[in-house]
Amino acid sequence: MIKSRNRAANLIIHVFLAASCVVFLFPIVWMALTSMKGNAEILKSPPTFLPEKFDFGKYAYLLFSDKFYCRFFMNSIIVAGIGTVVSTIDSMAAGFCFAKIRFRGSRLLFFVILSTLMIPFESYMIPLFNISVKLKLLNTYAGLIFPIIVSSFGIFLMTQYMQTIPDEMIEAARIDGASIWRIFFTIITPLSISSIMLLAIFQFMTAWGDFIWPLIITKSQNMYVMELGLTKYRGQFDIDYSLLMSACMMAITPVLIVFLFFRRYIIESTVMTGIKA
Amino acid sequence: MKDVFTKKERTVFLFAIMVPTVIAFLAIRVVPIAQTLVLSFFKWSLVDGVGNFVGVRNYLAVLRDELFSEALLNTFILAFAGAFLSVILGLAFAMMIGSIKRSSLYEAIVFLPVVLTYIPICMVWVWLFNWDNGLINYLLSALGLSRVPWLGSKSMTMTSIIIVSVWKVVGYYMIIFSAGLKTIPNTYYEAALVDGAPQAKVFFKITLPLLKPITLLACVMAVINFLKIFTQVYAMTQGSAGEATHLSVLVYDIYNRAFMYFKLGEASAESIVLLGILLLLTLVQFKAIGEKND
Repeated sequence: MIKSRNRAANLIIHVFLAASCVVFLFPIVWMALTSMKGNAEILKSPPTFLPEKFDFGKYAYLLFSDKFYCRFFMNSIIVAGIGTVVSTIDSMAAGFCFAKIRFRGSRLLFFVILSTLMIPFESYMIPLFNISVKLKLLNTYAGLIFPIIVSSFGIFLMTQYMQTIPDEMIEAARIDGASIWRIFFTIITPLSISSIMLLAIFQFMTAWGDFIWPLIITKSQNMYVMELGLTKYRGQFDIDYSLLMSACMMAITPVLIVFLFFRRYIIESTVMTGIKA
Repeated sequence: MKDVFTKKERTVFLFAIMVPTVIAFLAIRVVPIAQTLVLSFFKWSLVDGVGNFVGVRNYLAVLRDELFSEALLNTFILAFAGAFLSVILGLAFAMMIGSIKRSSLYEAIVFLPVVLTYIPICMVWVWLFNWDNGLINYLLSALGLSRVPWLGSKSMTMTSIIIVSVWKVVGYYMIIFSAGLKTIPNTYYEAALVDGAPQAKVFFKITLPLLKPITLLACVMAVINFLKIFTQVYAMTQGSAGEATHLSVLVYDIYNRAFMYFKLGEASAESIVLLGILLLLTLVQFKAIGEKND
């Protein structure tokens, strides 16, 4: 697009965008501010904007006294971490097989994998739950990770990418006597590293935000992931909002930090994964 | 490519990679999908296990159920309102950001909610929407307006959920449209500039027609994503005052049918209905992608 040269129009756009940014940022700022206010202060009318006294008591409580909060964090890291590592490595290896090795049935298999891409998780979660129960995965880490170990999207993406790697590079390595494993690890992997990173970011974010599967497959609080655990601080009647906001604030802080540093990368991954999300 | 690897080497590698992949893939995708379809024709309860073949009776039970029709209606309203707003606002932001210099900070801030997860943002919105102490109602009453029961009735809950969801995803569609706008050659705009065409005309005669495939794609994507809505609804209505404000959507109804009423057969039938609707839309999406590539 051509950048507008009309000063007045430019100013209006800037003002409008700045105002929109307030709308997009404010809930997060409000979350942070509420989390640092005392219980009496958040019920005051008119509400205070900045906390009268910065109170980090709720943070300390969640981190050191709450039985579960750190556990939720750890569970999320374990589940999203293992899920991401396993599915990303599998996607790379399977992508390599589909892109660079000829084998019988490869087209059919690729087609089957691709065709499940359009089938949303929500439509087959009930039999999946049933299978998990039979495999005794209910309320276990294995159960939480189970549905994300293989990613149709990841396999598709890596196959697409690896097809762009010239065959000559593999042939040249072959002449030098490299084995298939060596070629995979020392040639294919480094060449695809940016795609791998984008896929890993995407997988991790998806796994971290997953809600309905943990809701179904976990039974006791010590197995809850963060997303599920946060709902427990909402309580039924008297909601301690400053506690709830502290819990939420700590849950989003890692994402905020990652976003601050890898903004371009994350936005790019969004465009690339557009067809999926 | 030519077969540069020896047969043995290839076989070992394929076995090491593809066998576990295929087994896992069968267990987590193919078998559950097939079971959903097959067992939707069987009596199947969480308590008693799989029973007799009942034909389409599960489907009839679901289709006749008022809870289903209510959930379907709510889901459609949410999906179309939510998708419409997300796409329109996404396009508007993309246009504005594309037309000025030094816009990357704006872009980052509008995009920020996309990377956050639903539960924390729903929680802060629930707090903002709070009837007594919520900031939004305070500001409304300070301006002399009446307080709004944001989460107090079904229709208001629906409105609030749309607000939160659109707020969360609009940055995503902005990025998609930004990518689309960059593909429109500058020469078109320069020609329009030389001709002295008014801005509105440039938008409707150049930008919009050239963005048509990507707009269609974004619309279908947004509708599909909103049809699968669950987390926001769960987070924003859980713990609310019961029946009066309980908002049902399709995935929620499937979840309830399966895990509250233990009717897995009916829940499977409902899953197939959801799947049918989504696949129909995916076909439209493929047509859109096909058009884009032409």
